[in-house]
Amino acid sequence: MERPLAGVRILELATGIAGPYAGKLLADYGAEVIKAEPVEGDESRGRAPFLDSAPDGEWSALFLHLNANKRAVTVAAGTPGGQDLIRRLVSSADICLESFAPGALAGWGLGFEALREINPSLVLTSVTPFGQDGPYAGYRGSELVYAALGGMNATRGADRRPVAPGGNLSQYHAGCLAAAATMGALLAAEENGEGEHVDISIMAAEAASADSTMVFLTAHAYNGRTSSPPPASAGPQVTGLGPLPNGAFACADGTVTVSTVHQWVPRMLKVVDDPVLAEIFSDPARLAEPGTAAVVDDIVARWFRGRTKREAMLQAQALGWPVTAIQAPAELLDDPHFSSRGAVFQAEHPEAGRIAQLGPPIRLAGGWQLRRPAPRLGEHNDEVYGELGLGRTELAAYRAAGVI
Amino acid sequence: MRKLPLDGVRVLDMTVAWSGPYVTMLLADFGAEVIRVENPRIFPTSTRGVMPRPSAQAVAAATNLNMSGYPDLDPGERPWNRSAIFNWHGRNKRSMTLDLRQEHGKEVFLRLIELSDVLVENNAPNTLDRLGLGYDRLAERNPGLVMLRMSSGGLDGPYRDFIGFGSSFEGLVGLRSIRGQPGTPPEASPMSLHMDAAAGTTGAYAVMLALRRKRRTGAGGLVELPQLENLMHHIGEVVLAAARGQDIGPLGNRDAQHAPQGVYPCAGQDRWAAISVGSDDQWDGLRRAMGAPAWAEDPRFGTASGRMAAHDELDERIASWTGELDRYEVFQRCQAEGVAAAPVTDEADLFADASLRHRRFFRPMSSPHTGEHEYPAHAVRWSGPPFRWERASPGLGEDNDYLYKEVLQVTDEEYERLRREGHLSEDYLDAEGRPL
Repeated sequence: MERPLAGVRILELATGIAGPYAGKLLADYGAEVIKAEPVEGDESRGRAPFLDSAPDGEWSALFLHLNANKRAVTVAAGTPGGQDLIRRLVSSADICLESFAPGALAGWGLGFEALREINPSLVLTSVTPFGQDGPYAGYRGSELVYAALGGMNATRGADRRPVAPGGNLSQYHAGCLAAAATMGALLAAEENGEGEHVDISIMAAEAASADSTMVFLTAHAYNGRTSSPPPASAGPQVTGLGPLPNGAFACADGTVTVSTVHQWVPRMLKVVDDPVLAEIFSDPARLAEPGTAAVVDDIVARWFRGRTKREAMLQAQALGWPVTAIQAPAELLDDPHFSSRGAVFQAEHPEAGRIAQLGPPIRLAGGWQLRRPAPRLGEHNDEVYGELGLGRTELAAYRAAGVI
Repeated sequence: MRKLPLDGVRVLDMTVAWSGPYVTMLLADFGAEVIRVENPRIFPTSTRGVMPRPSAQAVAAATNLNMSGYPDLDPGERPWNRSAIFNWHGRNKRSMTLDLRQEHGKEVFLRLIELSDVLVENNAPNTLDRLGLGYDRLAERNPGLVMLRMSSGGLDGPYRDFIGFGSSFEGLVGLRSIRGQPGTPPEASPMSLHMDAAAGTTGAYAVMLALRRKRRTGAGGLVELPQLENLMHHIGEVVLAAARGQDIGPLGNRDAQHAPQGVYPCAGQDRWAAISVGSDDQWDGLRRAMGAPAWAEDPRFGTASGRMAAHDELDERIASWTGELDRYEVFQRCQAEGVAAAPVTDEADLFADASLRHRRFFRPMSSPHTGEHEYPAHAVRWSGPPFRWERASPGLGEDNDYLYKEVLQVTDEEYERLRREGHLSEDYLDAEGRPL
């Protein structure tokens, strides 16, 4: 079966996380992605975490994760020679992903209008912190900044100070949105022959996130309430539901997360199978008593303490009670579910050695394939520029001038 | 006139809670006709409210916006049409009611499948299996159907039929191990629903991937989006490093690239601003933003490694500067000097935000169920025709006439039969068929 993105060519001028993750999603499903990095390399090559602890001369795990299935060339976009190379690369591309500061491409004569003269069906997707124009267009972003503008206000640590959600979640989310919007624009371009310019603001993607931000914005529009001041205890709470066990419970060898809403109480009772607990939940008067929550928690906590986190999870989920083990990333490699599905596996990288790779986030017949490892800087300069008809002498001249 | 990318595509929407409805919201924005198929005899939690009929008292007393999110804190006659939990994503969609547990309901559903291009669902896989409505059965009736199934565990493996919220699952793939203050255990970290956000955007992409192939080859197919594995990609770098024996714990508000970086207290109660300094140039920018204080000239702070080593000391100094200032003042002063910064915002701040206003992110919509309000609208901007912003979120069963009479073209006789059997309802019904 033909791959979903068979025949699609992408020029990835984007660096960092969001744009390259969009490029990865497209590459994984059959698009041919040429990653054109600045001569000094994508900033993500120098970003932690590295495969091994020190950064010097080693591989960035971030770069390896984001750039498998791509071929890499270098190009100095700020030079006339580089701009000429970009024009050539664009002429045969269906999609261009970029993340330069707003206006930079136009300043080099490579704005959307100029590019569509070269290639009228080109989809240009720009991924920037705050979008292509507007009052923050020139402002700088960071993962912490996106979190501050997104859901952090509702995510407080035990000391009630705002704490980052961890990792680079906002940028990944914006990357997924960029992939979806780019895909929509590609479908339109293939239908009517006209490309479009897609403008992704990482901040706007956060504001539109299904991580609760959209719900809370709507709730605020309805009655003026906000998520400030935060609730006294950490984490999203399901309140007004009586003494239902929710949150962390300690097991013999670790911890589980428990989520219980009203509909799931009968399942919980079946799992824990305790006469006192059953009696409490059959008596509305008892449920309403102030001390009941502590009694319920105590009985449930005792059940968890007697089991490993995996036993507890499997027994509870078998009866439909949402209990999940809390695992460290290292535990994923031996997790029977994820390994049986090939969600994470070991692969050989020609230079980085044995590394973990992740399986498909989307599965469809003939869809996902790991075709090549993340490229070295400029690894495909000769190959890709050669395909464009550039000869050895021309490439040597570009190299000497610092263009590639 | 240029059309939207998914113009003419019909999507059946059997999604619940956050992630699935986000997928179909994006598809509807891009032009698809999205039809929610809802069972009036099952109230799915966290889809049209936390519960079917919360009391006005419980709504007013709730500290959580999911529970209190009703217009004017009034759950009204039909709370399921008024909850923010439904109205944030229901725009442009239609709603029909159908009880798939009855044979007649299944048969009507299969007729509808024949008339549709896409089905999206995010239930545990055994939900549709129990109904006998797996992909194979549906594909018999419509071989070109694209079916997106986005359960947490995917379609096989020991966690196949696991249920829970995004917040329950993020610990299972390691996300909570990298959240919180350094040295704190994962269970002490606050929970988030990033898994839903991650799956929602990726799901919309997945459907369009399959639709492109369908346009070229005619072939539809089953598309599986295992939400846990999708979320794992969003911390992929941590998983790769962990596989090489590196244990990356929580970093609080710091990271390896930025120093100083933090969320600093500002003037006022519970007011904060985030600041990230990623280079020596940006450190110079922050010094200028702070008014070039003498302490900042310490040569130890001239390099990234020096700033990292003295991070606690820097935090104290910076906090004493921010503590005197409004968080927006900190934001503007830093950004004016090329330093990444932002206020920690709440919902009121975002509604007032100049950048989001500039993008027309908030747009008014009027509905008979909720009145007129501004809503968060489209995150994406593009040069193409306007994304859809046509119909307010539908009440339960609001489009039964359209779906049954115009689309399915059932006879008056069958329509009456469907009504008698309890498929058609604008209320949620109990086991005996009485309105809740």
